[in-house]
Amino acid sequence: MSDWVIQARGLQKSFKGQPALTGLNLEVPAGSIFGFLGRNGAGKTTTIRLLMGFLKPDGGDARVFGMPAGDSAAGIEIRRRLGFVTEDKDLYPYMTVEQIIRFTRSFFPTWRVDSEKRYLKLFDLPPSRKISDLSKGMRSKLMLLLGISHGAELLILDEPTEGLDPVAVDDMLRELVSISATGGTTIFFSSHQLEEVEQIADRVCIIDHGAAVVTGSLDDLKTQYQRLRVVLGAELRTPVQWGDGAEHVRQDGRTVDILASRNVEAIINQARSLPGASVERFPVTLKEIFLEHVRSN
Amino acid sequence: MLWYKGWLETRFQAVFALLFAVFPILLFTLATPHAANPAPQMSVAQAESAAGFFALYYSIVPLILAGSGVKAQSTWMRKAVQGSVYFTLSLPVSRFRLFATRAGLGMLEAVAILTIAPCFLRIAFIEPQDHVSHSDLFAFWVTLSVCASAFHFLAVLLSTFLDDQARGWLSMLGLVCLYGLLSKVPLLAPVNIFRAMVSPLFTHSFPWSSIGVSLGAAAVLGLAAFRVVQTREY
Repeated sequence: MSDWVIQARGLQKSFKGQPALTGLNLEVPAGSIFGFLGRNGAGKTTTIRLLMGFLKPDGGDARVFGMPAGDSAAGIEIRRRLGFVTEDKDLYPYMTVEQIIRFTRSFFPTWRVDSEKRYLKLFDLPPSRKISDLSKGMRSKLMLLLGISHGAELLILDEPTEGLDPVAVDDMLRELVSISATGGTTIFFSSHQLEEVEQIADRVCIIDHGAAVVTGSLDDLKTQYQRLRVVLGAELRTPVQWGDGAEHVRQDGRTVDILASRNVEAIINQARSLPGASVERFPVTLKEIFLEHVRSN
Repeated sequence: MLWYKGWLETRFQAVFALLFAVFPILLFTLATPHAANPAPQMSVAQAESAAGFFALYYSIVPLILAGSGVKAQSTWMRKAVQGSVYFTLSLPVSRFRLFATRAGLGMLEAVAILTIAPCFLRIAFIEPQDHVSHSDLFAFWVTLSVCASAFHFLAVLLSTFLDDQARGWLSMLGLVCLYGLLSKVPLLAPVNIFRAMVSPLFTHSFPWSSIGVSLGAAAVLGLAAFRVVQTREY
């Protein structure tokens, strides 16, 4: 199998002339938990729909398991190997939990009854309850059960924790980590909840205005990004031209806040060369990286 | 299991279509005891015209049961419930299978319900002197079903971009307009599909040309509907 479960190159998509994706590049390694972040309308759901083959790209190429996502024949094979939780968590309202499990099971010869029973119990899903009577959170759990129980190699989850209470969110996140750790399942999930992503993801991509602005391993990003606080001896008359890697600079009187994405040591040395300046460095959270990039974009 | 899903989706429509088909029988049964005299004798032309209207009535049955397997996203009337479309499309089945199962199920249900039409005719109107045999009634049922399949696939095509309510009203309006046009314009009399549907009762043979045209129209409309389902973005 290829190292990448999902690959997108220069993906473009417009709706009625409005660009939704403007050349998105994405690589999701096998076995990873990949957080896909962005504001509302950034292009997350459009990307997922392109990967699922619901939409066709205007430009670029999307591959899942090395197969073209938009191809109808390959699409069947791709969908056989993945589980999907939709944004709205809508299932057939006229079916019961038991009926939709039986219905979905018929499409997957690799269905695992033990897994089905385990998640029915874990998620506290009543088999005889009609789907129309389930809350959004319950439907989210049910969709996850349907995705997991057929032994999916890849789970694509669009806002999976939306509508869940904090306890259920925690349970679901733990379960996702467990699924990835024990079965080697790749998990690709979009979310607004940066804390959740930070809690479980090992790789992230931040998308804004239809293109990836930050992508990489979460650990690398946290090492790579540093916040520097420079306190100057005196207020400068001319603004400093900070070196390469100073992504965002904010000055308030004698205090300068810098978000550095690379060449941190060089920027620190540059700051220290200023008369009377002292420099402090702070670790950066995913939320800070997200907010800085999205605001400046 | 797609058949099962289709049945769960259409069962209430099927019950409604069944009641719709049975309604004239109930009406007739209720009206008959009060009729002091037998119904006045009609000329052949009048009988054909009345039977044409009868065919129009039963042509509505397949319109009620039409569907394309993937619900329309929205219409000019209202936004349809579309969320489960993504779940359906995420299953490892081709759009052709989704389409064929749903459209086929609707047609099968319609054909089954349309058996009521010849039964009703037999019980209510046909007298021994009319010389209508069981094979004529069978030919009538086959012709009615085949010709109505063209209307069914028109409704299937409409269902690819309209929700159930809009599709139902629009297709019925189209059907009534077609009936009015074919029965009022003498030039169009030879292509009156509604008369062709009931012609086995009068000619004691199949109207092969009308059957061929209807099958052709059904195939073209079905292919057009499938093309929409296959190429549509969701």
